Amino acid sequence: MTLQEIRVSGLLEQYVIGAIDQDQKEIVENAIIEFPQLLSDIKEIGTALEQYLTIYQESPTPLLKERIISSIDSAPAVTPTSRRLVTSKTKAPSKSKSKKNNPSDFDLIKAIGLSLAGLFLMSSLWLWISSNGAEEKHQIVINQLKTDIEKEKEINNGLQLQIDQLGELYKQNNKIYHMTPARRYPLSRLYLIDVPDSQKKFLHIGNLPPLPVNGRYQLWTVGANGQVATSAVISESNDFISEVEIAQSTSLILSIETNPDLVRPTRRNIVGSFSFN
Amino acid sequence: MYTVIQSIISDPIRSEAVLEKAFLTLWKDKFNVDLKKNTLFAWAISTARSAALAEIGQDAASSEEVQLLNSDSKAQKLLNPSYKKVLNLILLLGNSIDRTSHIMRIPSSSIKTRLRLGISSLRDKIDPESNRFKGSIMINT
Repeated sequence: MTLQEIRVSGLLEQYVIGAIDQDQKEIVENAIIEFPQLLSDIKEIGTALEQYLTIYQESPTPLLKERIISSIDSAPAVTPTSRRLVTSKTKAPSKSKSKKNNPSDFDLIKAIGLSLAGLFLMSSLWLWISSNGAEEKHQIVINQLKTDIEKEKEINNGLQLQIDQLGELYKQNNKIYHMTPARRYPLSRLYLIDVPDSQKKFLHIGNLPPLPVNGRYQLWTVGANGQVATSAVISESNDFISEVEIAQSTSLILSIETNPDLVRPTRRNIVGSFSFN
Repeated sequence: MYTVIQSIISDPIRSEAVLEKAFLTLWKDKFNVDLKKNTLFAWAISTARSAALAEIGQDAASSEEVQLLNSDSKAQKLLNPSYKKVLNLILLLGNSIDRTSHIMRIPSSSIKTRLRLGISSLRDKIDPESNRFKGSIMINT
């Protein structure tokens, strides 16, 4: 990409905001190395956005600053900082000592000896800190890998369980009810599977609309007399199976709600409903 | 950073916890960031944004929130409404380019163009001396 192409691509703006994928990020970072003048574009974009954000500025509670500083203080030290601290501490006393004394040849030899010993000690200390840092980093990577492997296992187990459940649920003798999606959410899928062998009912949902902040998918039951009651809260938006208790209800409604105290579903937030009479 | 986190999460208590996490991330990554390729602001904002999105687990914005952000009178003076909507959806509500394209029902290439033009229009309004918006569009900071 030429300098002009990168400037009009919109990638610099996305890069500053962080709304960029890894490949595009690499393109921008390589372009910055090739055209260092892009760094001033990035600074200007940052300044403009910083000023824009002041319109919506909100301040956290005053105590937060101290809380953040104390969490940073209690965080594990980062190696290069420790190295810098050691250097500054060891340099200072030797400087003040040399100013006080009038050096003879013996003093000079002693000073050189001491400096060499100091240098040796400093190098050992530095090597010790570096190796400890490397070991610490190595350990972090290993722990991360272990966590990733565990997570992957968990996901695989979850998927296998879902496949087994689906195979079991969609057997021919089970009765399957299809939800009628609301006009606003035509892509949502919701099935109620009645398993006569076990007398249990399962809900299988898919492709639900994204939740707003603090929102949740709320399932409601409607009785024969029209009485509405809250049923389960569903935590997933896609390929989620859950056993449901519908008792004497004649229909089910799924809606998106932000207020947990509601007694009826919000009409405009209804994702879909189905009746099994 | 707090403004970005608070806009995405809309919950002051959770936002403060996320801000704390974001600062810890900055602290831990301080030797990994190359300021020859990045600026402090960009690094801080993208860290705050990622932390907030990780907290809510998805990029979501209700239409009410977008309307609320779009109705701000100070921002009205600064930006063309269509640029402002794109900028707010991405910067303040943490949406990706694709999700913004889906919400606004316009192609993602148009979203990128609007984002660039919107920010470019903001850049033109910055006074290089003070690094703030020029006098006629002064905003209390």
